[in-house]
Amino acid sequence: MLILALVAAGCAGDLNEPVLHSAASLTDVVPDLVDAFGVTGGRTDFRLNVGGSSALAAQIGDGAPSGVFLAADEVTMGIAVDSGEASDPVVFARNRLVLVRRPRADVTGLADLAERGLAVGLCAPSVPCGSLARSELAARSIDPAVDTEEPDVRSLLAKVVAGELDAALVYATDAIVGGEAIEVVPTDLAGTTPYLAAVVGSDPPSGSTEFVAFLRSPEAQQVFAAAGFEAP
Amino acid sequence: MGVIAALAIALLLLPLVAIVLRTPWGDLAEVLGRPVVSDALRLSVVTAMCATVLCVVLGTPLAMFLAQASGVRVALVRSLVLLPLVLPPVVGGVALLEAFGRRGLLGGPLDAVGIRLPFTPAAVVLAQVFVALPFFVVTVEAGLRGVEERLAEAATAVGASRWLVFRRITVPLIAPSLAAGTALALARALGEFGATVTFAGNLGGRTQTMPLAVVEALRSDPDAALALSLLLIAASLAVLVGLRGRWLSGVRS
Repeated sequence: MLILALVAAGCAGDLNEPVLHSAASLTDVVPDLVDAFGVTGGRTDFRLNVGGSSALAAQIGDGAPSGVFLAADEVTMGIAVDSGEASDPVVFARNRLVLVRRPRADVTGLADLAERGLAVGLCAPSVPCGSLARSELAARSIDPAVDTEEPDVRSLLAKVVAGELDAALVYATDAIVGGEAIEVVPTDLAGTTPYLAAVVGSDPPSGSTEFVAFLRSPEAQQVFAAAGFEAP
Repeated sequence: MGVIAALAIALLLLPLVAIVLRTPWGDLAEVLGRPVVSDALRLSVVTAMCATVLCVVLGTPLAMFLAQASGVRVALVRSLVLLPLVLPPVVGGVALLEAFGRRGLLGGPLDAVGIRLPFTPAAVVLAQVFVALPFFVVTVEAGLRGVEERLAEAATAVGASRWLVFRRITVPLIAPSLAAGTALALARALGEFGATVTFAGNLGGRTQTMPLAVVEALRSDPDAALALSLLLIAASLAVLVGLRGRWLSGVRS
């Protein structure tokens, strides 16, 4: 009995560190943010939970460990706030959509996304990247011939990088991460999505509130700008 | 001992009971009509049945080969057949992508002649066959090994052709394990997620099978997620009832 209890306690994990529930598009920038936070005197032992914002919001609603939620749009943050687990969200950055293509793919503009012969990918509609993409296309009366709807923007990017998709709408920051493996197609896309941060949990670990406040500081904004994000 | 057994039963039973209790029974008909549910249901049924037929067609000769031969060669083949059984499904998906994706070993040449597998229902079937075939082969091989070789030899001795022996003697004797293998393959194909989402993609009506639809619905339509989960549980129960304890024995008892 005692052994079972110890094993169970061990398997349940250590719950003292705050968890950063982070939108997938922030994957590369979060470690730099945590480092910068540490330089200002904050804690650096955050645990990372990365995924599509809508999946994270659902997890938070179901009682995910407390800490901070970094969401890629107001809708997904709204879900977390409505569940009562998150409060006082603040906008800390924005991200723009871009059209990317597999190198040498026959894609020259947004209208090509309607081509049946091309392998086109978008994020799932419930994910911020996907809803922004659809509203931008709808505003231009383009009906995309979608071949797959990925659960988060990094899965989508991975498929373009791997050459499985010809074109996709990802964030400007993801296009930078894609590097040489993809090409950005110039378009008149101007829509941006706001990133919001909020503290999660009724008794969040110390450092959570400070981290949220830190995200709007000059040091943090420098990290965002270097990665290709836009000002809040 | 009894207390621990009861706890184990509770651990298994509680989540299933929770789903049944939380299902929106009053609106169920309407929920089942929603595209995310009906598209996924139709796609799952069609692809899983195609995959199961392929498992039977491809798996029966393979099971016969494994049952009759022996030696290192057979042991290697058997390990290969069992591999998808123990492999994490998403790894299977990555492997399928490397083989049949647009830049894959076989997929590259196929793409050059205009045959594109990823993001099609065919890719869904391929992923399902990859993960379900071992279940069928292992079950049928066990059944074949239980068949008395002398029965087949006796038939051949009185002039029966190999096909006649197969049709009139072997098949009736292994019918229970054929049925069990088919049921298991069908269940595994229906429940397949990791390989499907990685290799075939995720698009409602074309590649979004029921397990993929559950993940999608969890984020946007929790009632649909419950309804889909209920359908999958019902399908699994139907498979178990069909098996009726024959899975492990493989031979008519």
